[in-house]
Amino acid sequence: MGRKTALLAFSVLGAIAANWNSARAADEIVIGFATSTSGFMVPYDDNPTKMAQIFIDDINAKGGLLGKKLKAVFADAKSDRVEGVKAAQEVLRQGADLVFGSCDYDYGSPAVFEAQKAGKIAVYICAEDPKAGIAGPNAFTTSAVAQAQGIAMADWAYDKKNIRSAYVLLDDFDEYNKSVCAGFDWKFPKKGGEIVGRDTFKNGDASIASQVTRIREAAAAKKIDAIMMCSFPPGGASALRQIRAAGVDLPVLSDSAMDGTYWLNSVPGLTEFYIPVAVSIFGDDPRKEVAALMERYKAKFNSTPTTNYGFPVYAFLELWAKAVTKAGTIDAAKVVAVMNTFKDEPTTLGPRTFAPNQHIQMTVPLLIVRVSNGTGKVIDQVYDKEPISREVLYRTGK
Amino acid sequence: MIGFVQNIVDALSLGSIYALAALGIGLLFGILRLINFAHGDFITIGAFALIVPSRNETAVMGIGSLPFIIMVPAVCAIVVIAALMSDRLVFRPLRRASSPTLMVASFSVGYLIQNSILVIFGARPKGIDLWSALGKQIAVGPLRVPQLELVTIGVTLLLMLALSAFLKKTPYGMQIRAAAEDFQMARYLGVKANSAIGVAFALSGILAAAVSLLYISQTGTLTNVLGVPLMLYAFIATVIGGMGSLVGAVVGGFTVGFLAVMLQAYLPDDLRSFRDAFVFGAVVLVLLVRPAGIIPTRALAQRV
Amino acid sequence: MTETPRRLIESVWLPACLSLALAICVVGVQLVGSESLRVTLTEMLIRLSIVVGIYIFIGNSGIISFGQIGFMCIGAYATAWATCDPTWKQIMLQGLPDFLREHTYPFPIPIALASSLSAAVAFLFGYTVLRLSGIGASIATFAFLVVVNNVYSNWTSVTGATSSIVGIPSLGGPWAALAFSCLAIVVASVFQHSHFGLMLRASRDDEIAAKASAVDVLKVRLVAFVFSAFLIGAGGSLYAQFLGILTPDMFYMSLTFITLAMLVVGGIGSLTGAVAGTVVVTLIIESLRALENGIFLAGEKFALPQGSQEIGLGIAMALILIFRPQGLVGGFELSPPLRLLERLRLRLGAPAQQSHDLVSRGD
Repeated sequence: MGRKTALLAFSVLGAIAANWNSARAADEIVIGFATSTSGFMVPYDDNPTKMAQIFIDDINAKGGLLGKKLKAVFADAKSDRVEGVKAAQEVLRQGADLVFGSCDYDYGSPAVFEAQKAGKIAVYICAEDPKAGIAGPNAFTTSAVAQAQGIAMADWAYDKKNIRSAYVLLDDFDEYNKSVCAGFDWKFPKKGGEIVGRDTFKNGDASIASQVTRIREAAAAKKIDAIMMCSFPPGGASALRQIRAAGVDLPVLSDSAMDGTYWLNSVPGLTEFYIPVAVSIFGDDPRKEVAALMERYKAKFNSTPTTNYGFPVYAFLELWAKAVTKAGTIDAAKVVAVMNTFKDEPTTLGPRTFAPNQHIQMTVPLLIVRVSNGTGKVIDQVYDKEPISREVLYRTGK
Repeated sequence: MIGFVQNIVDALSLGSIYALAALGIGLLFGILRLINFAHGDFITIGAFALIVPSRNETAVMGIGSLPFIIMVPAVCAIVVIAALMSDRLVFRPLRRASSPTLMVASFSVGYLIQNSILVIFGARPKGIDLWSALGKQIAVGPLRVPQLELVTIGVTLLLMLALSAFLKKTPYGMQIRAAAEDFQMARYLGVKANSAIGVAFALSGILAAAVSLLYISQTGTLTNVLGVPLMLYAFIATVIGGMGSLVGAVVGGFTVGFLAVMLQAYLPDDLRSFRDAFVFGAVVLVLLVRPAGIIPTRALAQRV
Repeated sequence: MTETPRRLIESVWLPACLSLALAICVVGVQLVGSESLRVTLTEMLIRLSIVVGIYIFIGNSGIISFGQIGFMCIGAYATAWATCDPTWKQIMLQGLPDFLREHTYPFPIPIALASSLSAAVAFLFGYTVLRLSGIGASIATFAFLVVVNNVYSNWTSVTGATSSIVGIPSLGGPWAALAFSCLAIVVASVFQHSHFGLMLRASRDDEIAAKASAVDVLKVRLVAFVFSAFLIGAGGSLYAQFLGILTPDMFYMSLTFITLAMLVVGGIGSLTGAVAGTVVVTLIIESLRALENGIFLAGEKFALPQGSQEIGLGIAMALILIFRPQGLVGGFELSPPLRLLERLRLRLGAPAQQSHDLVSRGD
């Protein structure tokens, strides 16, 4: 009986809510942001949320989409999973046709699932976990799989830097780091390189002294050309400080999460540090459109994006707008059907591909940035199109 | 063999940091039966004090760039003020409260500090460079010892000696020891409880500030929760060392540091990720064998 | 009134009142509340069953346990093992035994599995460490939390390690959560009025005297610990089904502290306190969030700066403890109906209608 009452109440409320939703202005398309504006996820969610607003301004300046203006609505997910669900409900209530969830797969999923339940397109604003690409028929992520970063590092290190033996240092605190290293572990031996040793640490470790000791012992026993470190700040920065302080001057290869200058003070005089990024925030991105994008961002928000994670959302929205235009509607199923046909579709950040069961990029062109003198410089570009096996993507081989 | 000696030095260094943090917690527990969960956040305050007044995304050293002789007292003063304020505003009104109430109150204080720092300084981790010259290594025979590790060990020993001299030789110290031994009796005998406790809080603040400086010169990164893992390790250190005993806190700190470094160094590859499970499993074993800690205190039996 | 009927009435009265109050909240929210209020309420009710589970051990034994959220983790993962798609488990969780890897099970088997696994682990762990007293036992339970978290975060073939688990079917909103929190309240009440509960409370108040009166302290503590783990395991199962996504870090320090804070703020020594603490802390959090989002006062929008919810919660909890060190209900238990209901009305701000009803029944 309780259930029946609940169902009744539910459907009445549902009907009211549905009416409420459709009450939004008919000449608007609403984009909802259920991302975090408070708490520890802010460093990840803030830049892309702002970048998406640049896109909205750009489209509106051109007269909108399907003759309608785009409008952004926001609800704070508060770096909390349950709050993510509520934030999604809130932006849906305000009529969102497209809902963005947090940058992280774990923290974004509650909002993404909720928006999908409501039949809308739901997007992780910059998640790189391969699982974000198979989170449901209407769920997308704007980024490429984290493995691509490890693969790009392996390619570049072997081909251009003449690195033949590497030591893998994995911060196994989270999934992202493991995915990056999985990409490297797969590609580097394939190229002909040898992984001569490996070790793990945890992002929150107060000291990685024993890991450093082990690196030095390994380096004394065998020639090591470079260290591949899969981590993110603060733990990654702290580990790098300790590695350099111990006099280990080997080149360190890393990942996109180590992008940005904000942590560089941790490692004074850092050199021989290389990262793969989708976009250079150091003002030397080879693409003119990207530089123009940075300018518009700066003009609107009076700051530049802190890391490359701010950018992929722009490329995604370009694709979405293209699909909406082609479908002639914002109906989720129809828009997704068009998006699923995109193959090497050009965007500001390079070609993008989707397929019904692949709503994440398997491969993107990545820039190699060398960090030295407190800043970064683009020194190369890698675009590895070799398909990544399932075992590497979901790390099931182990 | 060289690796082993190197690991011993590493363990002593990490153990020193835990021992210093454990001393701060043990000091307050001895007197107030307060497990001060906010102690880790005092450490965080000390670390952030270095970049005051800058709030930039890329941290700029403020107080941290002052000459050593001003900077260290300034950082200590900031942490001591925070510690005294938390005593005055929260713990003093709770003198008669039960130990769970005190514990949750200290947790509230810590939560407040963490979130205030988050609001003031933002959530993005910050990098700062404190005393990187200490990172240089000294060659001792085939061994290469980072100066910082020696400094950490030295500072810990020095602070321990100073603290024990303070507790033994000064009137305030004796009052604190009396209060730690038997709080009610000390009060009957005329110990001014609030001032003795205030001094203890101030001392724990200085210990926390020392940990901040040593820890930051090692890691170079700031986050609003950087003190939490230190606090947790220090917390178990005080208990397995012998809750309420200062020597015990130090012994406990070194024990935990040794466990962590040695397990990290000698566990087989595929078990290394489970290091913490082994460390804490060992903690349970120590407790089962010596329920009152490695160095039990006389007063403990009545306390629990 | 003779002793036995009185105890019976007490043990029935207490859960009846608490459950009724909760049920009225749920009905109220279902009728007028928004979607997000419903989510808030569901989360609160699940937390309530956890806090009540924690109370069974901590409140009755007087030993602060930091480890109970570890049982929530165990329960939640057991549920994922029992409910997720077999093809997915064959790929991701190859280390599971066949009966879990190859099959899915309908309600209520996942919850039963969650509770019994938690209870079994609690029995083994409790049997080893509950001979410790006071702070030693607390640290051992804390170590338990760390070990559970560390193992579940790294045991790739069985828990997926840091890779989150998704695809746990939903069990339904506030009603299911209400049913479970009421069940938890009934179990807690029956336990504390039982022979075991009374002996355990005696050992809490004076361990030496209780031992002298032939109370087997280890045994009564162990019973409470296992019951507590049983309920918390079910709560973990419920939480997994509520959120649909699972990672080990959900069940760690912050949840441990917030649930302990709820218990202590309400009043550690009584079931009423456990319920009151959960409700009040949730109310504080939600009001601060509402203020953060902005409210309209006389046409002016007034909003607290972002982050003030967390800061406000810290201040509010400290203030409550300073002014009521024994917690909001201060060890009070819902037995003399009149006085208690009066308090409940004042403290919780429960709807006047409801209190009036109950008061007249109490008469």
